[in-house]
Amino acid sequence: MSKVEMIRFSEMLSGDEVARNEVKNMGTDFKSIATFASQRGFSLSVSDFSIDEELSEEELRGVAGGRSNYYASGEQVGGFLDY
Amino acid sequence: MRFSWTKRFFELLIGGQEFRALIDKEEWGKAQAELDKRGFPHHLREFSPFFEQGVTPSPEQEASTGYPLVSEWLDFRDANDKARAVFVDFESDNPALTMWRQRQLSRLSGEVGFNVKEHYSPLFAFELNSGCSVQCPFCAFDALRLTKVGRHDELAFLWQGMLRVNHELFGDSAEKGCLYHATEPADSPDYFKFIEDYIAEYGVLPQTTTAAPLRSLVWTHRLIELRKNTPTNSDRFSLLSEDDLHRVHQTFTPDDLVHVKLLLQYEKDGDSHFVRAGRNFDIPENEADQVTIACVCGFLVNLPERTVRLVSPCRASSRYPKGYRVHAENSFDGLEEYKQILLDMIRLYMPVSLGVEDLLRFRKGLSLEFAEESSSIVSRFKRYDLGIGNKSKQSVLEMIKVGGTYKDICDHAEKTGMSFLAFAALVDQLFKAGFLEDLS
Repeated sequence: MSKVEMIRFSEMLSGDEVARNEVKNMGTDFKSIATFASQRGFSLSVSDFSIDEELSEEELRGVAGGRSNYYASGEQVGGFLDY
Repeated sequence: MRFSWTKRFFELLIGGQEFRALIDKEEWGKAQAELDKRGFPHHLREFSPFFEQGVTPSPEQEASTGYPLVSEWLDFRDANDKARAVFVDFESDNPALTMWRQRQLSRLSGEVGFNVKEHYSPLFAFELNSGCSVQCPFCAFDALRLTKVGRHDELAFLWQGMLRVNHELFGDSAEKGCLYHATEPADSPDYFKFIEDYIAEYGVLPQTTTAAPLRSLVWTHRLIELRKNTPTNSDRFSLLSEDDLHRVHQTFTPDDLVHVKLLLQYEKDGDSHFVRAGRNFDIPENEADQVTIACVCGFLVNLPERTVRLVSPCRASSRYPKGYRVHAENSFDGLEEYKQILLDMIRLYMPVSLGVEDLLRFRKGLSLEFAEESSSIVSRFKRYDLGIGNKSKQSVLEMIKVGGTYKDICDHAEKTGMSFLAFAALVDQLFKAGFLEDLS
């Protein structure tokens, strides 16, 4: 990603109300936005506009278990049998 | 195959109350006699790492030392895991469909508490009949009574054409399907004719789950033979009583069942494995082991009725008591209409981006948590970190929680200092992660 290119593109939009509204009205259609940028001489791709990294997630609690028998519990034999 | 006997041993241990009681009470002689009575060619002690206290699955290689049956079983299981991983992997030729499925399965992971993407989620389920003759008292799909049976000679032209259309539209991912849903495969006298067409189109044998494996032994043996030739997946017998388990064991050899999972759907020592959905939707949540059995994420097609539903699995709720959402439904007469319905469903329900008039709102079951340096979205089972928070971002998230059009919330974001491009990137991230309500 070219950060400098993105800043240049943003500055162009700030100074051009028509272009700005046109891009804003594209919503999250980054393909169209990248095409628009390219037509005006900016070297930007779809990935420059999106956040591609996956969100980090934290488990809050496991799925309910609580069965009584150790080998029928899905934790002992079930662990082996789960194929 | 010695591991087929190991599999049978597990089935007996888990599903046979008397045998399990003998193990519990450490009555080894009587337990051995039970194995002998069933023709086991192995001694009980060869299985001992599987049931002795203190041996856990984690130090597997250690547990298998000196126990060839254990080692072979673990190798068999690993091979199955690898085959399943290939099978679970999904990439459609249609990006809109692939993205839609990713959003639905991400949502489901937050609803059920485990990573659904590691499980098999077929793209298609084809019901060959209307209703089901078995009528299990716990049926999570609350299947209607059997009223109509689809015959191959009447449906072959349409059926074969549908398989071709699906292949053409979705590439090899179209093969990820099954020929039953709220139906019983054994109700279909032409089941294997439909299956043969499926194999002819895709070269794979889809999974079969039957609750009537003893109804026609010719039918069941045919299924078993087909699977032996293509063991890339397993079939399943759903057994409703311990008596069924013993009858299945008497009827089929361990080798017959090596690629058949037995689903023991009856109470075992007070352990019922309840699924809180369908006919069991009224059981208390804390007594349920699962909250859906639905796995189809895509198209549910009923051949005799000629209907297509766009469905995705969900936590069963009063709105979706069968554990799956129906996003859209339509009926068709012929092949062209069928194809058009699929294309329309993709166009109308599977957007790849959001427009300024679209309504943005977090789906139900999500809440927001803000701290000085972070913003999180919290589901029943997971907390997702959106990175370092700031007042502008948090204000935008609050507004999405209430709901509004993209345009209105974007205008609000700009007033708080967020550029509309940064807003678009944030909303796109939320959309792809499945946090937003479906648009239609």
